[in-house]
Formats: sequence, structure tokens, C-alpha cells
Amino acid sequence: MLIKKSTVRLIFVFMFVFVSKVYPQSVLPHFFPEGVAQPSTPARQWQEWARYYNAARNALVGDQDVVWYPGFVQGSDTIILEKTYLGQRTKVVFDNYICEGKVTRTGCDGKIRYQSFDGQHYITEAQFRVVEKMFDDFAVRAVNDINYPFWGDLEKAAVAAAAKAENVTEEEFRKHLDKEDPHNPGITFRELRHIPEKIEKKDFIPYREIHLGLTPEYSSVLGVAWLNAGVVHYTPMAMMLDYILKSPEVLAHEFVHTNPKLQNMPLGWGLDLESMASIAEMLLDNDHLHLWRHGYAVDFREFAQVFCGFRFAQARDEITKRPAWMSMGNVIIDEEKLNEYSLKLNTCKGALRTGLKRGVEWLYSNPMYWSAMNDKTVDDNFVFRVVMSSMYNPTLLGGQDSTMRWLQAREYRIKEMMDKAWNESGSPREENNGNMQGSIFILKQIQGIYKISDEEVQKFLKANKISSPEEIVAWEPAKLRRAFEDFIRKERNQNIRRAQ
Amino acid sequence: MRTKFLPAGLILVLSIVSANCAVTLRGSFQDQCKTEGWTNDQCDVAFYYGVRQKFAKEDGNGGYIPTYNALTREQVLKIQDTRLQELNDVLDYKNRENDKFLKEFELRKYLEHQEKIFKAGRDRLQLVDIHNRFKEFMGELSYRPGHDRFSTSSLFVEDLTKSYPFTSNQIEEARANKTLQEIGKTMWFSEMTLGRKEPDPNDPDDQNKFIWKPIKVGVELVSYKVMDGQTPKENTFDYVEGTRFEVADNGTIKREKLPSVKVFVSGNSYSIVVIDKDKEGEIGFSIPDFVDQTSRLNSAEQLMGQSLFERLFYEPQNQKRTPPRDPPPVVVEIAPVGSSKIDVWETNANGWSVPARYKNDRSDNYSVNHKLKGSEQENFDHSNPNKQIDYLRKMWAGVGDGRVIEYFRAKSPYDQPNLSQISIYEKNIRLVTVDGNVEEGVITPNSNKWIQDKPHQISYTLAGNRWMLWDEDGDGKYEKKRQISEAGEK
Repeated sequence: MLIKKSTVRLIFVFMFVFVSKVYPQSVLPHFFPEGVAQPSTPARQWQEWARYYNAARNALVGDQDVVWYPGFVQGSDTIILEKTYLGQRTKVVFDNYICEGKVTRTGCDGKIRYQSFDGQHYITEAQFRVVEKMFDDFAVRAVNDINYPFWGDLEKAAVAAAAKAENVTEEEFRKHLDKEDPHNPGITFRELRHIPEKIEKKDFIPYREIHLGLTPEYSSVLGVAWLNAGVVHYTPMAMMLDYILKSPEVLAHEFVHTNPKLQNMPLGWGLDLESMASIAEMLLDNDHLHLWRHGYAVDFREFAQVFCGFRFAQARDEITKRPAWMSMGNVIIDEEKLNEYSLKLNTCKGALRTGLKRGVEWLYSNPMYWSAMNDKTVDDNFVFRVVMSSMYNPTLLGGQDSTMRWLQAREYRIKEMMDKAWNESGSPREENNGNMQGSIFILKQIQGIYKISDEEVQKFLKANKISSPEEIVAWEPAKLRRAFEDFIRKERNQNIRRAQ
Repeated sequence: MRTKFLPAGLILVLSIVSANCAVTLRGSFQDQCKTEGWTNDQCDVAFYYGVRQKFAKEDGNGGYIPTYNALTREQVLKIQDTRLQELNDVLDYKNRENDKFLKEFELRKYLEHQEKIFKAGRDRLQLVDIHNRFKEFMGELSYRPGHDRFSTSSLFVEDLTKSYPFTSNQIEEARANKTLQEIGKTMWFSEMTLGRKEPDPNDPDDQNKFIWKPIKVGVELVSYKVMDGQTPKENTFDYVEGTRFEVADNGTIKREKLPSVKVFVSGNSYSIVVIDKDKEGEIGFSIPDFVDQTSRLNSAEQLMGQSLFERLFYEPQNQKRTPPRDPPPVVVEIAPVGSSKIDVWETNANGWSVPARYKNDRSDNYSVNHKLKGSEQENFDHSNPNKQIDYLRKMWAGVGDGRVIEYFRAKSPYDQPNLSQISIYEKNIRLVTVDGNVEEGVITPNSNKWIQDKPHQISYTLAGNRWMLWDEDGDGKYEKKRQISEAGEK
């Protein structure tokens, strides 16, 4: 169960920076560092993204050690353009562009002032139009090239899967689907079953606002979306990443979150929305970054390992030949190996896309069942595990034949183990429970006493490099309290100094 | 503005921590792997192989499809309940941040509709279980509640009354051959203005503020008996149908279209009660929500004594939500102390009165006490021979519960600062002046020499609040009123 579930789950969604046709500079956004290109090989993609990120981070991300920024305050002088993308009207808010004249529906009739963490300066209208034009292009391509090809036929496939599961024809099933429930006027069987309506391209476009701007509170975030709110925040750094990848992936990711037919409250509260928003974009052939390291792709990596036999740990080890302590922060890689492995991974990505596409079809054919399965297994991606195991044989133990021989020799034992795991899953865990509850209680208590915001909690977790539950559980409650209080004291002092 | 919503990174961490409270399928499997001595890779492939074995089945074309029968209906019901609880939390006006979010993005109506959808789904899901229990009570089925498998197709049948009938063969046959006859009718109706106490939506954090919601409920119970032409030996019923009704202001009765309670007889010892808690027009109306077995009821009136009966008048969560009124406009008001007179009194030119009777027919249900001028001060000198009466009070008791107190000024010459002793017991008064003169008597209900004929102030209690009336100008009308503290009055 989530803490403060009903509140936190109103929300969602981010793309975090992970680490990690060439246009002339004049037609690239003014905030891109000079020399930004669209590398064609995996290794170069990695290298350049890291370089650009480091080159632009002071201006576009800010100093990550600074715990508080005043924020950029939107005003009536902020440039907001009314747009229609793929039939959906929306507003594009250029949070960091100030109009020193009259703001019009199409721009600004005066000088345009731009500010970032690196200062502020005037830009020409032509420079502004480059940003606008690239954004227009990305918004349309995020749907046409990425999301719609993957999600466009979802309704038909989900209905077909549901009909098959109930042993009726699709035609029969459809006849029943849009009827009103005679016992519950105003509600259709489609709504009762939570099967989405036909997906249209315009569904992906946020119906209220898309912000292109910096995000002082969440420096490492590339994009943010709120369920059902029709609002997306897309950062300049994300725009640069999407440019490098030749596909507006971050924008496409956020657009899945804001498509109310795919992700909404309350259905989304029982699903792993991040994994689902990542499938269409992170597994694109030209993306050689995300599958290697991104947090949202952790299950994709496991599928690649089990069903494609691709050992990420070994591959990473071979790519970075020298020990980490020799790197001095400058990673030396074997480019050939990285290129070779990334291209091998593309073969696997195809299988993952196929499998996960069927997975979402199963999921949306019966969301109530899969939400309950997620709850019982305590695993919000369980449908993907079932679909991948149903479509592919594991190959990790030296290929399909040897893996299947090993498995079949232990078939009965595996069944016993799975039955036991099924019986146990969802029940309270005994070990560490006291310590864990103690730690969480202390965390919440301190949060209440000191009026600590959720953001500050996040900073604390980050500052202490806490990224897994085991790490929190390992803290003695008393030690956790001391550490938290020290952190808050230090942070508040910094804020006081900053305010002075 | 700083958002209060948690970033996904934190959600991720905290949710993993929270989820860690429960055993995961993967975790349990992994623990068993360790005891087998398998490597991590072996564990991984074994896990996925086990997932296929348990949760998928061959589709006849060489592929696999999900089994969809792994869960019990109870497990699916749990997730529906969780969603409904979460929706209720989000829709609660008391959660101001959520309310702000819903208001800004106009999502309340959408989420209320979602709540209806989940409730409708929940009712259907639960119905199967209730129907099975009903059949078991009627002796037609052996059943373990909650342990049968969840089945999507059986859940979404269009006509639930055909698939899950709450009927008995005996009654239906009697109805068909016209031997089922009405033998009694009972109407029960309750209307309470102060029906249910709820927190004041305008100030939900103040536990002393609340509102009353009226309750107006009624049900008509019709009893039937299977008659075979002979005069029956007993007048007990074989079947009861109850229909909720409302009484309009003009007195007309509006019945719901379908019965909301049915009572069957099972053998000689038991009655089976089936209840649909949802009112007509609400989600779930026509779908029973409760079934229970009780000892044999012999009359419809006995049903009203059952705890099940209250469930007929269930108040749904969404009807308990009351939106707060808009707050007053933000203003700036600076009030230097002493710059203006503060009038805490509410004025009524026609005069206020005590709303309830507090005197008996003889007007003698009071006792008297008094207060001396200055006695509220800590350094008051009780040995002072020149004391003065501030006021005398008639403390009324025994009629009503308003705890009424009348405040009287003393008549001349007893209002002078020349008293060395004052003692009052019940209605008897004894005064000693500084000159040694002693006067004794009784403070009677009617006009007397001790006190003014009419009190200048009267205090009383109404609905938990204490009030003071004041005749400011002595004309006999109490034109001023204000709330006071009872503790302070003592």
C-alpha cells in the first residue's frame, strides 16, 4: 500500500535524467549549446548526450546542491500561444520567455526576454520561432511517430482479447459492450469493464496546457504530467535529448500519461503507469540510452535478460574496461563493444515491443482482473511477466534448448515453489517489519513536526543515496531521526543564508 | 507556487517501502530459490517458467493466453473496495489540497462518475456471493463464501434478476397458481429534523461545530401466506416484501418501483432476509446487498427489531459530502484597542424572550442567591461592614432543561452600601445593617419588598449554548441578547 495513497496518486509522472539530419546552430533552439548534433552510432549518442548535458546543466538544470529556488513566476507577460495539434486545442506556455510588449495569441509584439539559471538576455523573434517550430514538430511527431503506432489499435485488440477470453465472437461482445447497464442507468458495460474507447490521435495532446520551461523544484526531471489534468511540463533539457534521439521521446512519454483513455484516476492507481508510458518510446531502435540504464526500464532489462539472453551486467563490464576508481569522473568506454551490443539489443527490442504490446492488450481487456493480480502479487507489472513468459521461452541459461532442458527437469519443483509463493504473496512480511515500520513512522513524524514538504523528503533520500527499500529499512529509527533532523537543520540554514 | 504533490521518485521509493510490508510473489519465489542453491539466472528463468505454468494456459494454437481464474472473487472485491476508499478520500472536501486540484481541473464530476462505476462493479461482484449465500440458506447449495473463482463473464450478465434470482420455488409456484395471498400490511415511517449530526463543512477542523441533517424514511411491508383454500391454523407469513417510500410535503406517498427487502421462510426455524440498501435512482438499486439468516420471524413487525432493518436506510458516502461555503472575502481591518465601542449584544426592538417554559404553575420552583459588589475581586474584604448587594438571582429548576437564572436589583433601602451581614437560604433572606438593624423575610414569587418586580437580566441554555437577555432601559422588554459562557456565569 502507498503512504498517503489517495493524495500522492492524483499525480504522476516524470522522466528523470539518467546519465545519460544535423541542423546548423541557427535553426536550433538558442538554449542548446553550440555543436549539438544527432549522432548515428550508439556510442556517439551516449558520449554526446553526456557532453551536452554537462554543457547545459548550469543553465537548464541549475545547481543540484541548492536546495531551494524561488521558482519562476508566470505572469500576464509570459508568452502563451494557442495551438491546435491533431485536432486538439491547447495552450503552449513558454514559462521562461517574457514579452516586453503586448502578448498576442501568436507571440509578442515587443522584445522577448529569456531567463534561465544562467542569467537573462533578449532573444530575437526568429530565435523564439525556432523554439516554437521545433516544439510544434515534436508535439505532432510524438503522436504520429511514437504513440499512435503503438497504441492506436488498442481498443480493437483489447475487445478481441476480452471476447476470446469469454469464448464469444468479437461481434457478440461488441453488441453488449456499449449497452447501458439496466441495473445502473448512466453506466455502460464498457465503463463497468474499464475497456477504453477507441484511441484517437488528439487524445494524446494535453487539453489544457503544455509548459515548455525549467523546473526549479525538480532539477533532474525532464517532463511531468498530472493524470486527468491535461497539463504537461516539458523542459528545455528534454527537448535537447529528444533532438539528439531524433524522436520526441520524453514528450511522447508524457503524452501517454495525459491520455485519459489510457491513464486516468482511479484506474491508474493500480498499475505501473511509468512502464506503460515508456514502452512506445524507450524501445525505439534509434534510442541507445534508455534501455541500458533508465529506472523505468528496469523490467524491460529483466525481460531482455531472461528472454533474449542478454546479460546487461556483463555487457556493461566489458564496455567500461577500466575500474570505476580510475575514471576520475571521465568514463572511458569501448565504443566498438557498445555499438555492437546496442545493435544486438535492437533485435531484442523488437521482441519486447511485440510482447509488451500484447501485454497492454491483455491488460486493457480486463483491467479489473489485472489490478487485482497486481495487488495480490505486489507487482504492478505482473501482466507483462505473464505475457512475456507466455510468448517466449527463456534463453538465459546458454540458449533455448539448454534453458528449457534445465527447467523441464525441475518442472514439478518450480510448480510447488510458485504455488507456495502465490499463497504467501500479499500477506504481511514478518522479517524487518518492526524496524521498517519504526523507520517509516519516524520519517512521517519528523515530516509532521518540522512541516517538511514532500520535496524535502525527496532531497533527504537523494542526499543520503537511499534508492531502495532495503536501505531505508536498514536505518535504525533513532539514527534515521538524527540524520533527518541534521539534514533539515542544514537545509534550513542554507535557505536562511540564501534569503539574506 | 510549490506543489504539494509528491514527485514520482518519492512515490517510487515510498511505495516500494510500503509494498515491502507485504510478501511479493517474486520475493517469496526468490527465497525458495536460495534454499535450492540455484544461481540468480536460474532463479529468474524458473520464476518466469512458473508464471507461465500457473497463470497461462494453452490456447489450442500453440500459444498461451491468461487463465483469468487465478483469483477468488473476494480478492477482486478487495481491489474494488480499495479504489472506492481512495476515491472517497480524494473527493472528501476536508482534504483541501485535493479539493483545490479537483476544482482547478473540474474533475469532481468525473471522479464522482468513476465512483459510481466502481460501486456498480462492486455491487455486481458482491451479488454473486450474496446469491450463493442465499441459495445456501434456502438449502439449495453448499457454499464457502468468498472462495469461489472470479469470473468476468458471469459478472457482466445483462439481466441480473434472471441470472441471480432471489426467489423461492414455493412462493413462485403459489404466486403462479394464485394461492399466495396478502395477509397483512405494515407501514413504518420516521421523520427527524435533527436526524444525523455531522461536522460543519465550513469548518471541519472545529470539533465543536456541526450541522444536523434531517432524516425522513419509511417502508411498507406486505406479508403473504400460501393459502390452500382452508382456514389456516396460524397467521404467520410465508413471505414478506418491503418497499421503501417517501412522504411528500402534501402527504402523498411515493413508493420505490421495486421491493428493497424480502423475507423468506426456511424450514420451521429460520427466516432469510434479503436487503437492497440502495434507493431508487442510486447506483445499485435492484441489486441486493445483504442476506442473512435469522431465527424465525412470525410477523413483519418483528423485522423492525432486527439490526438488518437499519441497513434499509443506509446513507451513501457521496451523500455525506457537503461542499463548504465560499470563505468570506479577504479584507484588512485594524482595530486599535479603545478606538470604538464594541457592541457584543444583538438587538431586537420587540424584545427577546426565553424560548421555553421554566416556571411551574405556582411559579415557586426557584431558589435564591446573591452577589456582592466587588466580590469578584481577589482582595475583596468580607469583613467590611458596608457591603452592598450587586444583584440577587432566582435559580429556576424542575421545569424544562434551560437552567434559567433571573437577575434582580435590590429595592431601596436594601440596595445601599450599609450591610454588615447578608445570608440567603432557599427563598429566605436575612440582612444586618451597619447600625445593627436586622431584617428577615421571604423572596416571594410575586412582588415583594426585597427585589425589583422584574429581572433586568435573564440567562438560559438552548441547544447546548448559553444565552443572556438584558433589559437595558428598564422598560420590561429584553431588547438585548448575547451568547455567554456558562462557566463564567458561575
